Amino acid sequence: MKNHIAESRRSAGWSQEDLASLLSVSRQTVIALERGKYNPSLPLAFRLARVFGTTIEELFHDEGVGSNGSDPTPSSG
Amino acid sequence: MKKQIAGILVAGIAAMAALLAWANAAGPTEELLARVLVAVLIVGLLISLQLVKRAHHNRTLAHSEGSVEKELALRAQSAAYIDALVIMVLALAAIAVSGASSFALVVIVSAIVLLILSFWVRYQLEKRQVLTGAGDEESHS
Repeated sequence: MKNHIAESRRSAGWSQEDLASLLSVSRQTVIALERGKYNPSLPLAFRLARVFGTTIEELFHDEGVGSNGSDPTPSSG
Repeated sequence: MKKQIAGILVAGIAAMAALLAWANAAGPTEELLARVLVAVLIVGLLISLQLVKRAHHNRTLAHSEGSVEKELALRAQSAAYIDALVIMVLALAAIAVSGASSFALVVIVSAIVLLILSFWVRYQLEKRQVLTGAGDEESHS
């Protein structure tokens, strides 16, 4: 799952450690999130959205879903 | 944390060696007391190590809700569970075949060491997979 956490953090002028502190998680967690190697739990996703003043949908986007929000997988019918 | 753990382990092993030496040299009554003290020492050692680990995790927020370390530990525990089943079955089979009590002790200690190693190796592999190249960015702006 792709996300805009790194860009949003840089725009806010925060270091990874600052963001980790705001989210009450380890810095390693922020690194893994930014690299897209770790999908956060729902409570953490909400905390991220709250910290950046945005929504979960704006922060994360599923690579399998098209830009208009439609599922690109072909229907069987 | 590693230094603290190493210190606790060294002190614990030294105390255990002293108690076992005393148990071997002492009479039957004192031997029982020494062996009970060894058992108490092993449990105390385990609790001390857990307390040190917990203090470290609380300090670094490594096991706070949503932290990647917690998720990695869970994944490693799940994988190590299957290893634990295999190791314990093999240990039980080895003890059943040999029947010797001193050999059984070696088998049990080896099984415990293997269980700890299994978790540690799996945790490191998961960590490497998720955090490869980590730390390449500044920690303070």
